[in-house]
Amino acid sequence: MAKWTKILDVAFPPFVETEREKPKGMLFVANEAPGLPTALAVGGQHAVVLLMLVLYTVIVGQEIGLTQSELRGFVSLCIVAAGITTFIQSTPTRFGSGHLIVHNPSTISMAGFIAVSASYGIGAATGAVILSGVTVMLLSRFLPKLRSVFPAEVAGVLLVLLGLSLVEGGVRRFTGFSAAGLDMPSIMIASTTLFVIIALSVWTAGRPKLFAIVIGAASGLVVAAILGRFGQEQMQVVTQQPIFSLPFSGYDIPTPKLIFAAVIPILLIEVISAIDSIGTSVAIDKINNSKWHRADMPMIGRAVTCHGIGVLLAGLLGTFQLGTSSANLGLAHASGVAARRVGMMAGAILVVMAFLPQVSTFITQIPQPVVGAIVVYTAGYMLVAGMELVLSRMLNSRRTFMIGLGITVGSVVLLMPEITAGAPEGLQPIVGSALTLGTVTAMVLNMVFRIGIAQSGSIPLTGIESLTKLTDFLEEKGEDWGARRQVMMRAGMAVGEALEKLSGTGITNWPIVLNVSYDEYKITLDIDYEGEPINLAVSKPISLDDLLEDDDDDALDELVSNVSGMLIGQLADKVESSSDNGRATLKLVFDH
Amino acid sequence: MLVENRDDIVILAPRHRVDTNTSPEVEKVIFENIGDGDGKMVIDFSQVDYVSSAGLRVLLKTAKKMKKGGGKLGLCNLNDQIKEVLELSGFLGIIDCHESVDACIETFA
Repeated sequence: MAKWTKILDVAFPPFVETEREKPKGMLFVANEAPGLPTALAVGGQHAVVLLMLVLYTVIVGQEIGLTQSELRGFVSLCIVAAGITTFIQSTPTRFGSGHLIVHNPSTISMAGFIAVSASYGIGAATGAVILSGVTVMLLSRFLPKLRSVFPAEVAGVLLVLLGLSLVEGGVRRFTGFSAAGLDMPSIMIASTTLFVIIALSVWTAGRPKLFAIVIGAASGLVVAAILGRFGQEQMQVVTQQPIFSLPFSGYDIPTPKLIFAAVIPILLIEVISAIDSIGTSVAIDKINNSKWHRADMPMIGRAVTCHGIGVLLAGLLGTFQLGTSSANLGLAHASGVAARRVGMMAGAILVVMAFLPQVSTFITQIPQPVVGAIVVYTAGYMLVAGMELVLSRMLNSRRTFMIGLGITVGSVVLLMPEITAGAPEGLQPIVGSALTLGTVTAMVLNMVFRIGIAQSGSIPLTGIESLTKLTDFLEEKGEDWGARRQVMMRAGMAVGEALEKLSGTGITNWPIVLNVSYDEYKITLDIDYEGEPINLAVSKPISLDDLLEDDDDDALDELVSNVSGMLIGQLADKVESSSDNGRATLKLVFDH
Repeated sequence: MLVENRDDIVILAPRHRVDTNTSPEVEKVIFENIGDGDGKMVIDFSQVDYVSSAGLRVLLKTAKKMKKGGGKLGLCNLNDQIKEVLELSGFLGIIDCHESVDACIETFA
């Protein structure tokens, strides 16, 4: 039994709770448990947003020529797969990220699924989907080891590109833009929806904020009804559906087939879709933590494992692939609720909805401008979150190019798609994806620019007057390493304070050498010098009133010395002082 | 360091850092303007990033002189780091700190 547990631990490492600090404006973060009414209310909204995106499954089903009853089964099974995967994803287990990540029909997988089904049959497509799911699960195991190639700035590039890639689809839906130009009713519906969502999430707290998206969508629906964009025609589609139906009825799950030519395009697309899931995981992790410093690779590994499970499940159920929903991130941000319990609730609600075709069909009939407004809101959030991540680290010319070129390459695919249109068909999924091309560019440049960068350094200090030189040295090292500016500042202050304290009492011989070493989790500074070890202990308490009355400055000097020791202790996360044979060492460690 | 006289009030504005290297100059300018410590003085930290314990020593000396002379001293525009240094020393409890120069001056009236 223990042997199997060990094997399981290697294949699927157990869940570890992330340390986080709740951001202002968030009501419930991942590990907090909102009450049942809140979980139901917000989980229900996530299910509604997802069902709006089920339209993609309807389109795929229609394109592959399913009959009306087959289509109902195909769509219902997709909802079941999305619900189960969302539930697993939200669980704090070795198979889930423990975050509120909702799985939706994957838009980037649509063209591949339709093309393969048309050429080789639906069974060949679902066979390829099953194999892709297993492959993604296997690949996810390597993600935790890729920490050094996926630093915060690369995660930022990924989020910026994710935000940018949402813009076109979101704005098209928002404006109803087509060959005929802009569609004013669409703009009115979407603007109302967006205004209500923003107003509720910015200017309210508590219940109205919780319901921001659903109230926004309802407002858009009212405007759509007034403008004649939602009414009898849509309701007729709804009433054609039975009230209750088993998801399996009407659709014979095709027998999966493995055909090499069918596997390749779908496999490639699924790997790219997994990158999309990495972006979603980073974004939700950041929503949950005001002290977000770096990508939590084990969590991302679990999120991608679950992505693979979702794809595998979809294939086994004979339906269309799943990805992760960016629009639901917007809902988590707008409602201020990102508790995993809500994700589990959303998953459960989705499974129930799969048995109620009238309800799910009603939601798929919601006008596209409403969806557009939610996507535009999410795109805005993603862009800012990505920029925050990029700017959270110190930048030098190497890192500036890495970020700038990553975003530029990704943007080229979005702004000038004709450039990649001539690429061989097999490469199209890669070169045609802004997210993949831009992120891979940033990752490769990050690895190239790391060549020749030492993870440690030293500087001789000739006296207290070398403080300016020390500041410049730490700044340069911080930029090389892409360290957090705040941590490097704290390190500089603590060393300055230590040198002030030591220059009077401890160091007997200058110059001394300061050694600095860096890894993603900590920065260590060692001062090795000839003299007495630093005394950080607070001497007797000083009365400020007495100090102000004293004629000499002895009490004042004592107080300043006390404060100096306290400051060093407060600035550094760990302080160690030792001495041996007239030499002393002061070690300052800063969590990074 | 910028020095401004507004009526009978001296406003001093050090810049960047007040540490071992810069505090002698800051101390010199303060004590050139403090007289017998019976006037009114505002120290504006809006352009200061960092105050070390050496900087704190200058502030304490200034406060001591002003207290003895019966003058009034106010600090303003302190960032979080400077507030922390003052809090650690207990200095925040005995000296007036304000959001702006004007708010500081108002309390002298």
